[in-house]
Amino acid sequence: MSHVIPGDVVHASVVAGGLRTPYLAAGRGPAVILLSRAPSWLATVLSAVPRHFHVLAPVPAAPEGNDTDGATAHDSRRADFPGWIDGFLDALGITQAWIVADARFGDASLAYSAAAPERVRAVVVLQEGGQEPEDTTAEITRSLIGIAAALDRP
Amino acid sequence: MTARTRIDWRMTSPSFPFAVRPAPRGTGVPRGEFRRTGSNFKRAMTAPDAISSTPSGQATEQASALLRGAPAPLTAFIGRDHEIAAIRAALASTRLLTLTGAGGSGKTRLALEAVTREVAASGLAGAWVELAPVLDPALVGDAVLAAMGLRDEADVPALERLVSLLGDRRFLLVLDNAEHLVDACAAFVDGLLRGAPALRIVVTSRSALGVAGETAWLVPPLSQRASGGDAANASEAVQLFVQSARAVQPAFRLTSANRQAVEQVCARLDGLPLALELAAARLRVLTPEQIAARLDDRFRLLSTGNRAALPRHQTLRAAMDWSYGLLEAQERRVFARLAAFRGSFTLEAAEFVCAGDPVAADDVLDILSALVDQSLVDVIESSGLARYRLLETVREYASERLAECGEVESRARLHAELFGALASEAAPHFRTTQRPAWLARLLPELDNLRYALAWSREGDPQTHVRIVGLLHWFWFSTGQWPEARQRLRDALALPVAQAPTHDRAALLFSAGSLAALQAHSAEARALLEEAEVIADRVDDQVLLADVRNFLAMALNQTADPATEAVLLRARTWMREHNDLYSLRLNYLLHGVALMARGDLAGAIEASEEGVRVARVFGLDRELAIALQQLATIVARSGDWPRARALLRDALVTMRRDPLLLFISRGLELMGSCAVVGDEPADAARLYGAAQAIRDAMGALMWSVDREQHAPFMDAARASLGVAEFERLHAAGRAMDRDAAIDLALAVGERLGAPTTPDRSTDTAEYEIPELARRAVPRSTTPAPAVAVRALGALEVAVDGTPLSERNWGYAKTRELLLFLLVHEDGRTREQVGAALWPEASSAQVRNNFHVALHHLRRALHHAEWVRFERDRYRLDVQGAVRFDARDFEDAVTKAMRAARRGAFPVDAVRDALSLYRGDFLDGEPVGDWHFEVRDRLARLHADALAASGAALLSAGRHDEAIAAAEQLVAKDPLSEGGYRTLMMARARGGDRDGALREFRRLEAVLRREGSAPARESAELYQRLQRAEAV
Repeated sequence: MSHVIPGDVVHASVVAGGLRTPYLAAGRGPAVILLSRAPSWLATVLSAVPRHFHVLAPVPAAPEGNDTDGATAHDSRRADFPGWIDGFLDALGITQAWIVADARFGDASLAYSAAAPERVRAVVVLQEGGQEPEDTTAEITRSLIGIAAALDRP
Repeated sequence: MTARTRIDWRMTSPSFPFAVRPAPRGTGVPRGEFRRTGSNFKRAMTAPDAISSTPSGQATEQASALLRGAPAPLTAFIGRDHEIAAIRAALASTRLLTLTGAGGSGKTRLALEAVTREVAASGLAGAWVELAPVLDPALVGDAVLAAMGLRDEADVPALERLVSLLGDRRFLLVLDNAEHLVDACAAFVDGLLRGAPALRIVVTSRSALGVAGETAWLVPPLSQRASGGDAANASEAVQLFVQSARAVQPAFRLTSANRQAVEQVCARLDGLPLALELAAARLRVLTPEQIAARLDDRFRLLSTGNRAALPRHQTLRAAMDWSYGLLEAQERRVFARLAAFRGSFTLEAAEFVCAGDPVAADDVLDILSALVDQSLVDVIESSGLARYRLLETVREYASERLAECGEVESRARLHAELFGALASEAAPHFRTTQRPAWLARLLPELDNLRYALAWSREGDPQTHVRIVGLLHWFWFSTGQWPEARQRLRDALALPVAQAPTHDRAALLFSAGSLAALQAHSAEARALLEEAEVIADRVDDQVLLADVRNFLAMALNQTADPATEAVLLRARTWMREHNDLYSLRLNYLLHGVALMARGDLAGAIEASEEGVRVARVFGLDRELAIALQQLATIVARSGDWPRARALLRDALVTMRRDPLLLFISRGLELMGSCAVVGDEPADAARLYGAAQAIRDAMGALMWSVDREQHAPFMDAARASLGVAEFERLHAAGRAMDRDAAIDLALAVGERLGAPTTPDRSTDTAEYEIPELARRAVPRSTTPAPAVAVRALGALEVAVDGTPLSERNWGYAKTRELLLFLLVHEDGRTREQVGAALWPEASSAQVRNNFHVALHHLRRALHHAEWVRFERDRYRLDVQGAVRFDARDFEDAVTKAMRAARRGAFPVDAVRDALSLYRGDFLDGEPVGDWHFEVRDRLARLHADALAASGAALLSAGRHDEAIAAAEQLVAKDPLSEGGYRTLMMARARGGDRDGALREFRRLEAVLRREGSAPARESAELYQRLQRAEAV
């Protein structure tokens, strides 16, 4: 399985409904939204995911950050998860995506999937793992391998 | 010449000034410059940094001047103040802002409004690039260059060229409708942002580009929150609905009765602007309540599931299905067939591509007009002509419907056939003075031409090969050389292009000549030598002449001794057949070749001949280049006075068709002339002004120019001192182009010129070619003409044939003709609209006007008879126009003036009166505008009858005087003057009783009006009673 190099990770942002959500992205292909607590090594994780997925990982704003839009977006994710994820997907022009979520976003993702089946191909909830990049990377990669199998791709 | 500037020009190394000199590698400057580029770019780049902080619409005009290529909005912009402020704020913090959202969510309109306001407020220069019609991802860069007004003749990738041109300048680029080119745009934008650090880019696209640093900004639907209960405070969605409603029903108002239904429609359509416009367009036949009910039925089926609302793309889809479902069968078919076009298209093109079972070509206009009424098609105006356009979202929908009909292939074939025919018709004119007119004709069709090429490459390769070859002079003239070369390479590789046919020869010539212009000498030579063999075999002498010219150009680039022989071989045929376009180039190339050989006298002679031919050929561009070449060589020979005169001539000519590269070369040469004339200060300014133009273009001096001017620049610097030279050079760089040309012309004049006319002005030997003469439409239109009788029953004849109802299409066509006949100096579309459709909205007027105009042009059989100049439409019939109302008015007015001088032309007035068969447009279904004309003519008629009766009476022509006076009193029963003429005429004719009866008639008429005859009439009556002479 080919991998992107770290330099291919894109830092960008989305503004939907006046709320700004920074995100990281890598690869080209079916969209996979990675919802995790996104520690500082998210870019490293992303650089290791397979190249033929378009993996997008929204970055939560730091609570103490001075980016008020970002902080609002951060709150919004908890308060109005369906509206926020709709806006995120709409702003990027993604009609349907896979969602890979950690435990914090697991329930919300599953609920969203049930409410908007046309937008979610499947939800993969990551089990609670270690806090090291390699643990998360390994788990995400396993998820993507599962997705790839579902897509009948190598 | 002073000692310090003495240079023997003849000793400098001669080289080739006409073809491409690559810039040194590694300079970041595009190699292979032979461009005519950039006037608009320079204007855009030198826009003032701050104009004013004007808000909103006040700045639109100003902004559109700065934002090159921005579309003109067709409707007023509604609300969205919050979004605009947010976008402008985002622009301050991001260099790449992508407005995303579903089709029809209003991305383009919002971007246009936000960006024009930003440009107006900041003074930032910018360009708008419409990407919807761009099909080939490889052409994104070329589309940007074209939108910025830059020609693409350099042999470098567009991205590299743009980076070089933009440098660290502040610039705002808008890429509109990028969704089908996301990957190509992503790579392009990424490269551009990295290379041009002060550039900001706004993209509209259904999906984000996914580029580092991008902010994807989701365009929200229009707000559905009202700020108050009245119409002015309705929600943005309702306001848009009402605005769209007024486009079809100008009297539509939001009332307490319909407000709920309108809000329901807006909610059902999620506040999506396109969906709202489509729904509002149905108000012509449905009430808001009916629309709301029908939408509800349709959407209820779709919005099953847990979520209350549909995803927006489904909402739009459902709205389009609904709108499409309401079309008549023929309208549906035409709508679907319109998907065959890319970009905008003309009515004539729509008739060709969309006609066919079950639609007759004659019906297409009315169907198109109905589709415009239903907001499915936009009508846009360009130079007074209507073009039609489908929004990209709508076009995609139409495309699906076309596929359902199974007509994708057949309509694409018709489309390719049509644009192939256009290319074929245009091709020969590009080598004549008709080139500007044909360029103007083809340029708006560029998207369609490209689509015809894209489809035909697989769909009909033979046609593809033919069209590619036919477009050679179009590509050549518009400077889109890299695209042309790529298409030519592809076409030459197709199996159908392998046989040694005329089509292959045309491709080879085109590829070879462009390669020669870009200094790819070996490649050019191979291509052109094969083209020569085939063109000779198929006996196409015009092609052969062109091939040989460019073959000589390629040969000369490698100093091949065969150059001259090739030129001379071609020249014989050119002279015999008066092919001035080729002959001019042939002589100029010969001049260059001779100069390369060191034969300055021969070079001057050949270039003089080139100038003579260019003068007769008649286009400024060709003449200016020829004059400049001659001036350059003459300067090299040391004849500075003549060089100055030629250069002045060249600059004056160039000003009419500016080629920036050649203007900068002209300024430099005049700079050197100034040094020779001991005016180093002006020389420094001119060198500086030339440098500014080169900077804006990213063009270095050709090495031959550098060699020529360096010694003079050094001399000027030495004469002035470095500091002063630099100061003046900087002042020159700050001059605008016109001021620089003025300075060059003034320097040339001050230094003096030869007193005798230049030898190159003697053109007696040449004559204008037949094709150029034939192609001028005004000289070939047979006379006459149009005959209109509007005083009494309306009759119109064109070229002697009366027009019937069938010719007119409908009554407004006839009314438009009459309106334009009455207003000889022309009227604007708005003025016509106010007269003919006083109740219509501006959108309806735009549509109705162009429908009527099309019918009128067709009825007249001469489209060019209705001209559009300075925003006005007017009739300009070649040949006589006979319009009885005008003839009558002219004759009578003239007669009345003569009468005041005591010389009333009785017989002329009688003839004029015979034109007056009845009141102007009496009984015709025309608007109120005609009353003023009718009343004026009726008054004139009465005055003429009265004056005529009096004059006939004086002349003793009593019977005729009686007839005129009878007409007068019939027309105006209260005309006492008419009765007095009757009384006197009858009395003088011996009928005293009759005269007395006339008085009693007058008395009776006036009595019914509660009045009595005037004293003058009563005295006349008394004299008649006393049997006195009257």
